[in-house]
Amino acid sequence: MMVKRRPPADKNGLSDFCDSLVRHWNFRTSFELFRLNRPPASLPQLLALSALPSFEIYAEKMSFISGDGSYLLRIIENKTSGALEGHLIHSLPQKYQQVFIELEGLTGEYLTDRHGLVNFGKIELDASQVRVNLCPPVAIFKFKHSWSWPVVRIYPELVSAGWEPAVLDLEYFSAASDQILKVQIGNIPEGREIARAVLVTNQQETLIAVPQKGLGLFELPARARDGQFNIYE
Amino acid sequence: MAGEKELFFKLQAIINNNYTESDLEELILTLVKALLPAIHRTRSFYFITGPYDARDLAFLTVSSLLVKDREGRFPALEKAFNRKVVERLSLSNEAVFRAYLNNILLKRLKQTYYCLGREIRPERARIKKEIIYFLKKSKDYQLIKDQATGCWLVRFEPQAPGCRLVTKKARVKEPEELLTICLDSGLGGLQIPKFFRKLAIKLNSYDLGFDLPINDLLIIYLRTQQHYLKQEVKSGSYSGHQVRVIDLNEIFSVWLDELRERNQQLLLKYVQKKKLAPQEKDSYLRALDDLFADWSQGGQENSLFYYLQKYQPQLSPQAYRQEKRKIMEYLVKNSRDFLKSKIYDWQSV
Repeated sequence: MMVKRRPPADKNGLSDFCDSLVRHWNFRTSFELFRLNRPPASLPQLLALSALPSFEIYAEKMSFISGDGSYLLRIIENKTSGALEGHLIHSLPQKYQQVFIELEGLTGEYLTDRHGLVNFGKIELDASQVRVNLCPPVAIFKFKHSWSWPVVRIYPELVSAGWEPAVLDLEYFSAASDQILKVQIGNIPEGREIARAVLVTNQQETLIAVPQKGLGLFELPARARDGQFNIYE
Repeated sequence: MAGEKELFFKLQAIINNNYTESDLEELILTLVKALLPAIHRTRSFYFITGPYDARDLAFLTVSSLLVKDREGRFPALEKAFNRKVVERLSLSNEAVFRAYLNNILLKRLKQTYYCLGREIRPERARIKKEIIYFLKKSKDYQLIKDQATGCWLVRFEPQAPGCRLVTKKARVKEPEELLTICLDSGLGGLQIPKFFRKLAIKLNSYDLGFDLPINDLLIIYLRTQQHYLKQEVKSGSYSGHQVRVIDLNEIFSVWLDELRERNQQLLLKYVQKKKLAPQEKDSYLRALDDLFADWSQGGQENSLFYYLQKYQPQLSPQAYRQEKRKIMEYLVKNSRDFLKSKIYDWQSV
């Protein structure tokens, strides 16, 4: 897949720091999806996707496919609320879970959940102009929360080329009422930059951070047990 | 301060997920600018591992506050400015909002310090209390209130050998100077009373006095202990004596062999008394083996029931409680006592 190039950001400046938190990020490893021009899907397929009884509630707006045909993104409109939903499909769960979807021209960052679903909300999409990019994680780390091991080093379970040496050093801190997880990303490959980090706990709670110097501090949700940490370039 | 109310409205918009990029940008700039002076003021009070400058600390603190969820909301910010707080601040003036915001930022900053300094459970407040408690009782040190700043200072006046007060003697001007004395005098590894008593003796021998804030003394005490711990880990030495280089794991495995033998004898007695079926003996031994392995690798992972159930899959919690628990707990208690006595003997040699 094609990898976009962008000049490395100077993370030392205040304006760059602001940009990294505020602005829509131009992911280095994102790739474009192409518009799939075909008639809307038939009734059974849509029912399976939406898992809702009434077909009339949903209408397929448009579909996109990746260059190698492995990804399919369906954008569906909820007729009652007017909101758009994205359904990202791939044969491997780790490829459709927690993937950033960029809609060019829109500022929001959209992240799929563990089912590959994303809620775009009420947005205006120009069917003739819209361009879609996907950014899957470059490394996925999985861990179990344990107070008996407050400091642990985790190695990636799934990793993109070049990110093999990356490691995570996790430390748990107990403040008065909160649990804080300190995540230090180590062995970041030379010349590579972490754009976003996503922490998934209890398979639901998802927190998105912009690590500073490879470091992120997360307030863990109550009863956080197991977790997954993804990094995006 | 002008614009505080406007910032408060923007903050509300951000919390309600109804904000623009410029709202967020303005909030970030305000937070970073508010944090920087506080960092310059407090940075030296904390021990931080890693090369983080003031700006890094500010960025890290702000970015931890602005961690988003999937809906683009900021849970940490929402928690800090919950509905009740927002209602209260809406009715208050700008100064109250500024004070609350500063308070939140200082709390978050402290948290950043703790995380970067690897203080897993912040113990500073407890240590500070202990120091104050000791200083109040001590005859060597005095607590005095600085008239200019209103802060509490600790005063130490060196005394001549005949307990005559020495006047116009040299004074420690900077906390770093006192820290150097503590480090040079080897005051690391001492409890608070002993630390301050020995410090007093040292200062008397140098004819040095000081007037320092309590917080500075707290930092000096913590730094001395941290330095001592680092040195101890590095050199493997304790109080000047070289610790024997013996692999504890090797010794531990010898002890475990001995322990297994003891447990086997104990279990045989249970079998003889018909409190245990002969075929069960092995499952107890294997469960204990797993437990010992966990002990040597960080600690018990689960309740004793699960250790035994692994080798007796049919075992129900009820049956365990009624028939097996006492035996298992007795074996574990015996094993723990055995290992404790072994470790104690080994350390005292």
